[in-house]
Amino acid sequence: MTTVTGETKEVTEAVETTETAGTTEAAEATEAAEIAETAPYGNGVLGQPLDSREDPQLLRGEATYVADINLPGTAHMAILGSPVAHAKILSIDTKAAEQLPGVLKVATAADFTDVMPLPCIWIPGGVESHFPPHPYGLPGARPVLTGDAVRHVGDPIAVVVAETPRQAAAALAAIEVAYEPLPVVTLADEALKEGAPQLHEAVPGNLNAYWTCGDKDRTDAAIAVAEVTVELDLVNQRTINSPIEPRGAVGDYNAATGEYTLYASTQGPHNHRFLLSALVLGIPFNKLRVIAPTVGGSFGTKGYLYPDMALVLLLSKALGRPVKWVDTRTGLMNSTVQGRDHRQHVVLAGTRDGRITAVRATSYANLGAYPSTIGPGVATALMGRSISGMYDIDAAFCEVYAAFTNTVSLGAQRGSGRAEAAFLMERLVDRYASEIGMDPAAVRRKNLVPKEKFPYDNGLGWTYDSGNYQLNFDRAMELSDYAGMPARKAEARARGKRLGVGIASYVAICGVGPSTRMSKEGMLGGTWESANIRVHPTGEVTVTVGSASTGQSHGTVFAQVAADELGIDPAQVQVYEGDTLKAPYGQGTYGSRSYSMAAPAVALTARKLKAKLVKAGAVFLGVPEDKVVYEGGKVHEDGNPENTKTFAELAMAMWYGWGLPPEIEPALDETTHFDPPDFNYPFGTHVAVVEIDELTGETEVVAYTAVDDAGNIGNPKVVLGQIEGSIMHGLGQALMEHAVYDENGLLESSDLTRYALPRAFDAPFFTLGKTTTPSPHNPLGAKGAGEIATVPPAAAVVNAVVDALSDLGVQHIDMPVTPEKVWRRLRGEAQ
Amino acid sequence: MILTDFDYVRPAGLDEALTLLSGTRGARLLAGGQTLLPALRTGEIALDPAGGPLLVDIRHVDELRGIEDGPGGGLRIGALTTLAELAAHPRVLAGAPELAAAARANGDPQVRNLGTVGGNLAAAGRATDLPVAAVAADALVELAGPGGRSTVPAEEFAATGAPAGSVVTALLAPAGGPAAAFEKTADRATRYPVCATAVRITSGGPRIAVTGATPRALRLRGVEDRLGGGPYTTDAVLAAFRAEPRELFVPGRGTSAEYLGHLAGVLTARALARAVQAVA
Repeated sequence: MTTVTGETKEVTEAVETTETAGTTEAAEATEAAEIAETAPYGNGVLGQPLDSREDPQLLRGEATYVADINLPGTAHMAILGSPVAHAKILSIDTKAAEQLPGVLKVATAADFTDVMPLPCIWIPGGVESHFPPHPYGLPGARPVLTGDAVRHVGDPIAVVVAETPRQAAAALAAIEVAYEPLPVVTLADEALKEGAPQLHEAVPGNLNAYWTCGDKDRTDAAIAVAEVTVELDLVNQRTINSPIEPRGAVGDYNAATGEYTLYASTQGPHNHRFLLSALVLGIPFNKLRVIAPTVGGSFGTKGYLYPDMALVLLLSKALGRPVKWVDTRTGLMNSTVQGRDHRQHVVLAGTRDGRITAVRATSYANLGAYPSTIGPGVATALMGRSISGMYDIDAAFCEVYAAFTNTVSLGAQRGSGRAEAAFLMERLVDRYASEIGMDPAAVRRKNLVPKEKFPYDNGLGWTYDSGNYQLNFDRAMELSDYAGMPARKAEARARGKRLGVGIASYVAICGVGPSTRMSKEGMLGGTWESANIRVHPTGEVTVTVGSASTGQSHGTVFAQVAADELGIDPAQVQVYEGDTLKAPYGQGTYGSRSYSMAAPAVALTARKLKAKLVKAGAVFLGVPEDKVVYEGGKVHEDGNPENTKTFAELAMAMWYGWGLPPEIEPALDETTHFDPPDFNYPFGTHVAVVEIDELTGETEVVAYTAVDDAGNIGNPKVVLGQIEGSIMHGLGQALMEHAVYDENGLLESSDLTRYALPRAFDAPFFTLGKTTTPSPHNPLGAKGAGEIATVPPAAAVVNAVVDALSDLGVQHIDMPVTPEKVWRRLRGEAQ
Repeated sequence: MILTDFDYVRPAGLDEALTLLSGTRGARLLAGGQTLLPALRTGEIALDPAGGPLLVDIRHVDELRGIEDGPGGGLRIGALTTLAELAAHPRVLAGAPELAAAARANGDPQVRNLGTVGGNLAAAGRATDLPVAAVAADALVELAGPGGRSTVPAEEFAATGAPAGSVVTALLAPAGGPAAAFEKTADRATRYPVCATAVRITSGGPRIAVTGATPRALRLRGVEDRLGGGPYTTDAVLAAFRAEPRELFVPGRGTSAEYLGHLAGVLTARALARAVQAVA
């Protein structure tokens, strides 16, 4: 493994720029120019806004998703999910279903007694926690099919495999299940109360863990003596991850070789291979191959183990045929991990002149009925350690009660944990500013972590790597014309609109991560990443990575990284990933990690190849090694450019291997496993401007400024697309998204006619700027980018709405901010 | 969701379609498919062992197409006219702008390119935009059925729907003019109207129709009478709505009847202001 520290590149001295945005295009043009200057040996390809090479096939509908995989002889699986949220299963009768046309197999938990439950691999770190059991003593999550009881609507009880999807679906209705209803609980804080319905025998009181970070005594003391304290009760409502492609899985068992192949919509094929083979099926690791075809978005949902993945493999073996399952939208909403869902009481203390002295958060996190593969870690560490945001606060403390309820399992949702943290902090800062009569921008500016304090220990467990928060914040104020808002408010009022402006700053831990550090954080596994580069005899290059794109343009960006390092045309570079047979081991795509984890592995591998080509170049050029110059994809003799070998010539010579001394191996094929010394910490400041209709209460986001700092950026076009998408995702939570469970645990919003997602026409005018503070923790100076802009929008929008209503005494409004909620506040009603 | 199994037939003309509709159990018209296909996917229309669904596809029946002169100087809008065609038609824009605006408020361009006038009227309920505009326009719905052709006022049609075995053949819009408008607040998820209102100002006073806040498109004659010749200030309109019986408005998904009644008033005030402005 290679561990890279700051010395390998002058990243700490690299550009910290401001640039003109105003429009997206202006920002792009400036970004490309800046990054090119910082590229160490490169040909300038890295940092260019190249078109994404994946896009044409995605846009033309030519990509192959799991649903498009039709192996000869495929049978189709359908899953019977529980119609009730909590009940004992008294009996299951499958006889009638088995008799129906086309039905090949009906299976229940009784058919899989030798199959282990799915494990949970990210638990609340450093504290006592309680989980359903797993035979290896690991924390268990859920069985592949439940036999004793159902614990949420959609809990898988039985499966049917039939000749056609329609026959399989029809047979589900013929399975008879007798239930003994049990009382239902859907809220985390309710689940912890005495007398609440109990979900798991091994989890007394439904409490998975009580987890804390920070200094409780110091924080309590600071709050006790503070000049000013403000408090809020917040609901960070549950949201439904809605990738355009629901999940699917095809299992294919080969009886001749004993090998299993799983095609699945996964963002971590290697992880799924390990967990499924070793911890669920109990088969040799080398008998399972996992292939991720094109994956149509994930937003944090497709890195998890789901029962269907194991079931298609088991049933393929049982039936001797490939078995395929593709979910529906309503199925997704009742099975795939959901996001957010914290209920919180939060306190901020400070001085009368705007200095924040302490922040304290108590949060009830709703893990759902079963722990998802990494849900408990997301709900604790990612949220709790992030609550102080961009601010230099002397005392901070967060406690999380993670509880099980009769709802779909909680997982990550783009910006997970960090968005919930930013929401509570940024709401508190506005509340505090209002309490002391200070401008919220001035309060923020006064409390930003100073530039000279980096690396900065936030007192909650994160050490921020690098940043210039003042520059970033000032840029956002400038680009958003914050100073001009009073005039705009007056102008809007004349039109019957209340204009409000809301700021939200954030720090989003990314780049998971340093494996040892993550082990202390409760991660039961490694979190390094890898890349292999093969130079073919003809000079073309193949990059394979352990990461797996769910839409992040890896093929484009990793080609840029390799091409830039090697000084060749990116068109020469092909990128492959997503097949465990072909790709080097890696942990997958999540937490905005690919560009700061996989891309550095690509760069380091290219550097190994370059070093080898310099050594070999000395042989082929007939000069000492220190006279060999590698430049522009060629080697030449220093001072004698005529004596040169092109990249293709070198590739062919290394393929032949003729004349190489014993210390130089033939061929060009290198691999790097990259484990960074620490996380990276992108940050930014967003400003939302809303207009509220005085008569209807409708809120429109009329302008949105985002200044994000993701360190050095590989492809600004790709990143800007991610930033715009991220902002829309955050606006969705602020204004419309809400997974509503009724008192019986039935998900009311279980299809897209009842669960609102933002549409293109909901997009405000974006003004996107950036600052660039490279991370010292990887050789590209990269920080996470894919999800970071999802972190602040909900806070920015709610802050803007509260600002617009502040003269009515409104101090908070719960998400989603619906027209009727606002209308009632306009009429003077309490929340 | 898996599409329900169905049978499919493509009649040669309207007469054959009518025969199929009245003679076949579970027969349903397929025109633009914008209401029918989702219902087949959600299971709202399910396979019936006793027969059906049989989709009677009338998309190629030319006699149901086109916008032409109607009775009394008005317009005859063929049932297969797409919402996109209706929204952009110069004569509709000039003579029945409330219909054009309502057509434009439906769905997205793909929906409007497929969805038809007949289907939009027949789907009624709270989900479509055209009925409320047709009510305000005082339009007639032309039907063909086993008993021959007939016309029904749009308001009555909104209440009763198409009689079994009949087909909407046209919407007959009286000679109007520019003094009309349509306003809508769309549901975030479905884009169906949370509330939509259409108004037309005539020499005899305003015609005001509301949907979404009400179970179907309704003329609000009480409001019309209270407002009379105007002026239609927001305060006056809101007061006129407040005087309506509370039970007129029904709660929607996540919205109270109280809010919807208020919203209907606001949208009506805005529509009236636009209609007044259009002739100023």
